[in-house]
Amino acid sequence: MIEILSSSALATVQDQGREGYLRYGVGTAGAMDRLALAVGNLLLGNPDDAAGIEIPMFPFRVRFLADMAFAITGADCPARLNERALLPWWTVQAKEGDVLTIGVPTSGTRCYLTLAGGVDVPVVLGSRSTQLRGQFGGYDGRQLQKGDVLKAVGEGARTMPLDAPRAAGFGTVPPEFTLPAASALPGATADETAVRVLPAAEYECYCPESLEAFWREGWKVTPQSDRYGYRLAGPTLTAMHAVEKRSHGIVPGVIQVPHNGHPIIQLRDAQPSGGYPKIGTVIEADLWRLAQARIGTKIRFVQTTYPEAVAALEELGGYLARVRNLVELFRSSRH
Amino acid sequence: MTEKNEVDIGELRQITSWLAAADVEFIEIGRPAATVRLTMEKPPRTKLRTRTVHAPDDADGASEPPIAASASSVAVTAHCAGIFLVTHPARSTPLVSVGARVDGGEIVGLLRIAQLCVPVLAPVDGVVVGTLVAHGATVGYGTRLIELAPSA
Repeated sequence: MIEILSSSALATVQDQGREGYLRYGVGTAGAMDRLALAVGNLLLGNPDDAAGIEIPMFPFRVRFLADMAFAITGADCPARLNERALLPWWTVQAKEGDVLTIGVPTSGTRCYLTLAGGVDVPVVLGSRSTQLRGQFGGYDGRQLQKGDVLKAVGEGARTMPLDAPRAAGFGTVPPEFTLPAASALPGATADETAVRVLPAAEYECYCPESLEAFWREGWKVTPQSDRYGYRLAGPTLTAMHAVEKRSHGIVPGVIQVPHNGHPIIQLRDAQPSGGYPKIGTVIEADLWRLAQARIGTKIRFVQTTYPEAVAALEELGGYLARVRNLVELFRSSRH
Repeated sequence: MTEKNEVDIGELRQITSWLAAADVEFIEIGRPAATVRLTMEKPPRTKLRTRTVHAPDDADGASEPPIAASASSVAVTAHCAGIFLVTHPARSTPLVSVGARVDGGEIVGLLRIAQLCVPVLAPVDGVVVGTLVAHGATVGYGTRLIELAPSA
């Protein structure tokens, strides 16, 4: 068990998402950076569908009420277990009474805390993710609060030897050092996030100058950006004629253009339907990069094709398979 | 190596003897059509850390630096093959620098094995005297990585 010590808002229990219910109007929810959550679960030998805690506000503090292995992945945060500094993308064993402090990230925005076995909350409609809009799933369908106590699945069943290497833990190289990003664009700076985008249904409805600006400009992530979606600031996108659509299904990653001409990228907690025209879609394989883009930084859109988007997703799957294989070898070689 | 994808028993025997000689416990060999995992059965290791203090047979004697002969220094050696890192890939400052005081069990370096980062631990409390291998160098099992002057 762990107890939440900080009153940091917006931390939620999330797994890989609630698939298959969009047609009933239930959004997917799930981790914004699914890759970070997946690696955290792999480091611990957890099932792929295990839930972790998504932390977007810092510092975040928890106390371990029992001996437990955990992992931190995602944004690079200065983390400490009691006084001992922890490396990013790392798993380590905590002892009862230990306090974990996760500080303000030096890069990225969302940190994932995963527990051995996964966070034990009821599965609702096939997922442990918090559905904030519907107020169900996760921990009582809400954000975590100071004083909340969370259990891990199968807690107490495991006994981990506390030998020196286990106590020091091990980790993975953060994926941004392994997975190639979209090709660097002229004029793009280091703190810009390049994501690959497929033109969407209403792409052709926009003025050529607007389309040119869409690919050329850096789009600033405004403070009105969260799990629901990112509102972007940049040039106004103008359609050649008014585009009126009935509400239709949308998925995380869809870039809509409301009447004001400033695009919105719909994300994990977005409504499953909307009527705004869609200029593009951020490919699934790059949504984790978007999840770590900070407010005030810029996003660059790089045009891609459907086969490239599928290849990128396969590359992501291959990366996770390699990490899984290596972690299994490393863990089994210890015993 | 054989051109066929079949596993050659003689070859495995040879590999096993190499593993035994190098005190390696486990190896996985991937081929297009087969994966071979060899695990060496051995009695549980008790004094894991103390072996790192004196390792007379793993370095070629000719290049043995005189400092290693000084009674007070301890070499931190690699417990597996990998790429030695003095700095975490995401960070800019080294995990330890020369003159730093470290506790036994503290992480003083990393070994990168493909996507994994495995810690290199100080065997004893002490002061970092020097780094014996460059950041980014590929090292084998037993390579001396860092020299420590143990605390009295």
